[in-house]
Amino acid sequence: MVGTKKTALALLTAAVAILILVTPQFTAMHTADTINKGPGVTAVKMLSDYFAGLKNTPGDTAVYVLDSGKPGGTALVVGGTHPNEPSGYIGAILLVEKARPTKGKLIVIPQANASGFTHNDYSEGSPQRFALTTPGGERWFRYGSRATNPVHQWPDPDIYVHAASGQKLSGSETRNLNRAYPGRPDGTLTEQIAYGIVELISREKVNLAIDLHEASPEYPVINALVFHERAMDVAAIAALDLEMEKIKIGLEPSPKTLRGLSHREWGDATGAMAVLMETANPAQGRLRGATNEALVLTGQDRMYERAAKLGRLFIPYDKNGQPLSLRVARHVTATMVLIRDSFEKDPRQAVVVTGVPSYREIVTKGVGAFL
Amino acid sequence: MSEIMLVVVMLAVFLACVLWLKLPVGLSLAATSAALAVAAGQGLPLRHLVEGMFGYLDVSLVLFTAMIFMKVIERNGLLERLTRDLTCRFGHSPLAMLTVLTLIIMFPGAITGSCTASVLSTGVLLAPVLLGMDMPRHIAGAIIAMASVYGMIAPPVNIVVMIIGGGIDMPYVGFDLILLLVTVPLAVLTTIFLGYPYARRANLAVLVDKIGDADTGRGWALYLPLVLIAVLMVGPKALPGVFPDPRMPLTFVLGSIAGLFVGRKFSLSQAARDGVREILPVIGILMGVGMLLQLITLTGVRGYIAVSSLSLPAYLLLVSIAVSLPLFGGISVFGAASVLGVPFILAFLGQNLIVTATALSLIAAMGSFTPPVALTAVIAAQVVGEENYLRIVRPLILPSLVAIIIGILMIMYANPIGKLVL
Repeated sequence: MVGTKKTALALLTAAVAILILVTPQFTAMHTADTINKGPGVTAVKMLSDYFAGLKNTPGDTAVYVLDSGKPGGTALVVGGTHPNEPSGYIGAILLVEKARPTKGKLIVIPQANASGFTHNDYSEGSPQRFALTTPGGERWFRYGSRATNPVHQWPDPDIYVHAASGQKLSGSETRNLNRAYPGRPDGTLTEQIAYGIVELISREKVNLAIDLHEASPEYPVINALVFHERAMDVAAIAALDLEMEKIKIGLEPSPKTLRGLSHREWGDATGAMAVLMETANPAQGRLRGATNEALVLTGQDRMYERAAKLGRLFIPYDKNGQPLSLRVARHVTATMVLIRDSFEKDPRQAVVVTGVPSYREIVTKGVGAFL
Repeated sequence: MSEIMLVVVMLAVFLACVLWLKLPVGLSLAATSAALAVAAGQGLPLRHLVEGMFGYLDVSLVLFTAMIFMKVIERNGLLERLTRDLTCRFGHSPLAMLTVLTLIIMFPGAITGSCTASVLSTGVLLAPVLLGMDMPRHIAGAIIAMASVYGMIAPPVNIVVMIIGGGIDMPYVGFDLILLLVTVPLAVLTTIFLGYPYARRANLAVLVDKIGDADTGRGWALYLPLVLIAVLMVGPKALPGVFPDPRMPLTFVLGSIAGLFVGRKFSLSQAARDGVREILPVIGILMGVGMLLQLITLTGVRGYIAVSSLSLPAYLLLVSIAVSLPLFGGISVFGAASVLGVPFILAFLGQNLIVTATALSLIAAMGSFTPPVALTAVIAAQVVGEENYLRIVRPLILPSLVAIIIGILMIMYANPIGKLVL
């Protein structure tokens, strides 16, 4: 076909029309999710309170402080490092809305990479949001991207060089918050967010820091707890306790050669016991079938059933899939067990948290029942 | 509709658009993506079609600016001058000439991890030299394409390995030697295999005399744009964190501006218009590929391809790797590395993973020549002025098969190779 001025004009008109039609869909991703202050929340700060360089930037994000007012330790829970891993941030939101500390202090960052919530990864076909049925009706949450929005940090270099170690990774990892720790005050937006979180851990004298993640079912480190060496005893005891509650969780020491990740850098840069946990999210896996909101919520996928039969997965997987409620229940329960176990040796540093639904409650009633 | 039926719909619509309606490949890919969505019951998901295109925004900017740079150095005389100087220096030995040309073409790809960088920088510069050795355009294009692809997976930067390694938390450490041993000999041998029959026959002495008289001046100032490009490309890699990284589009823009001040006078706006016009069909293909990648993921076709590739019996796994990685690489080499490379390497967790990942990157890289996208061949065709990119693909079939077989052997004998080399 030979192009003419008429065909050029027709294509240009179509392009402009498409642009007008889709722009609202993209800009809607910048509307923040509603996070309700629960009974335990005593203050809502911003990450920029810990690193002023983030003020008025897309990297600033809410920090919820749940202070019992009684002396004790401090625990930090971080969700939304990767906004395409919903059990992490929904679990953190559930803590904000339900947890009531009676001793010590709990700090929660539900959407650590706020910029990552404002877009989706290209080529992934992800839904932009998903709905949970709550007592107050349908409640929507964004399903974002693994990385900072390129509108906020662009272009990527060919190679991402981790500033503290010189480790080289693919250029797109420049926007991955969990490759940016301990961060830099004068670095990229992602490095500044990482720096802000490390500053928070240091200034708040956090004893236990937990990073909630998800990974694809074919990833070896799945349904697992990755621990910094300082957190080894606590992680081992927590895994045993979870086993007694019939929740199987693998234990993985944080590799010293893999730099930039929370479980390595939080532990090295601060005095905190650093732990990262993974649940299995088929919606972010490479082997998944059709990608849609239902997959995010139910975690059911025929392709993953086939892959499980082929022995390609690192978790048991059948037609029941890996529902979001199950994944959130794992994270919330493991978080509570870790918080309890980590302060056993020194009761003066204890953090006691009540009001959080049990594993069984979340699984049977659905996570929406508690939001 | 089942995934296999969606694959059938996808192929049927694409072939109908290209062969029957004679639409450009870019538009055909866009129409295929839309048809795939409709067949999968998704309606016309405009957001996904637009979002998919963003996957190639950065590459498109590189292509636009590189093409303008190419036009600039063509018109200010630098291309002629470089051809003359290289021919005069190495023209006495066809083998030495072909070896040096291969290594130079590989260089930008090796430091950026992008074969596009090689094709559009050193490939552009050296195309006249290859053509001057009496090579047909398609052979010159094939040499540039293959050397650029080997440059992409040569050390120090192999993004394909980084993507595969990222999927299993394997740091990009310890790859330099094995990548060097795999890429440089294969690249040089491929160039000699393709180019020596022509270079041997070419009367390089006459060529040296002829080109030596070309009216391109003798001062070194003409090389300023090239030096600037080299410094801006190498600087950030050599001194990370110290030397500011202008990224490739700005590098080419600065190189083009520098080209204005040396050599023959020319109209920059005309050069820019010509460059953009020539590269626009390639950009169209890239936008179409972006849409298709997004839609095959949305509809589940991507997962179907990935799981089907893994479904073969163990003894056929290597066959699956040899076939599916280059085929999927035809859509996107980096996409193949992510979607198939990671599951494949997981199947070999017990053996030497550095050798295995290197081999997978070698096999995936050969997807650069797989039609209908065959991006590297398409761009190389633009560079050498070959109208039919398939003529560039054909001579690369045998060298690609050799590379794939070597990759498979490396996977089979990863442990002994690892002990020997690492």
